[in-house]
Amino acid sequence: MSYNQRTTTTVTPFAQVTNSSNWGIGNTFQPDTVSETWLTSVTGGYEFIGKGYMFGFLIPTAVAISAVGVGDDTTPDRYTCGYYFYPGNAGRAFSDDEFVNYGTTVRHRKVDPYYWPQASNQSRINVMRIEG
Amino acid sequence: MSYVPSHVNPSLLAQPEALTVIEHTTGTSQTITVGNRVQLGTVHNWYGSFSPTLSTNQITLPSGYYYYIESTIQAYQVASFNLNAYISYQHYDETNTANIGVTATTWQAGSGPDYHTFARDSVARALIDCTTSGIDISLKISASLNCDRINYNADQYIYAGLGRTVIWQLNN
Repeated sequence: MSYNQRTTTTVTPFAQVTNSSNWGIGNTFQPDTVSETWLTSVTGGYEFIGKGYMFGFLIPTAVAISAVGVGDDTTPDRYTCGYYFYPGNAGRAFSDDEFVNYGTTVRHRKVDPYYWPQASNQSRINVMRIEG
Repeated sequence: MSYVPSHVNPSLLAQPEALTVIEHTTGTSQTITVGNRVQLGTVHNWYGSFSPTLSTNQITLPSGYYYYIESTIQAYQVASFNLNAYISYQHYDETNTANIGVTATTWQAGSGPDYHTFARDSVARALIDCTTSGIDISLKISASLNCDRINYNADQYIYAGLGRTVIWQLNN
């Protein structure tokens, strides 16, 4: 495959949000590192004006069974959620641990935690701009 | 989707044609039988204008495009859970009767010290060339152990995401 871009841009459409230390999971926690300047800081995350696809995962640092979604909604749709867990406590339903979403922000939210874990600094949220 | 080689100006990248997510059907009665199609539900067209036709849990992919597809499911054991449970699934080309793409295995382990090992996605992936002719595809169960329901929404589902199929429609 090869592509010719329809709309010229001078920046990469791919960005990644990380944190230099463990993530504190909550609605107002903001990771401290973002790879592209077109993602601007807002409470609880980063955003840009335009359409974007988000995907990512969180890695627990302790006993953890939790679903994670991204977006502005208090309870992200279940089919977009990811799920992460500590396997010693994995007597639960299980599924993919990558969350996906589409919208204009990369705010993350943890939903329905079984325990209250932190996520390690290996956790990632990736954003792809698909404006146009 | 694409990527940015360090030596290439990113202006060479292009937008995808469409991004569509199919929410899998959830319930309490979808049992696991090897070879069965995963039941498909609501189509969410997130970007562009691609709303594929669904018929008997098959997805029609029109000609003229490449498609990059990712699918994942949720699994559950009704009676009691067993440590060391898994389910495998893969996309299936219904038109040409062949498995396609990469198999996914979603599983829960027994007690183990290295949770980092498991903190990655398990997703069935396929890149499909429909530039000259369209095909019908599905998502099929290929193996399972110690779990008996998929996309089960009566208990414990709040701890896990439910099934989905993500389709990127890419320009020829």
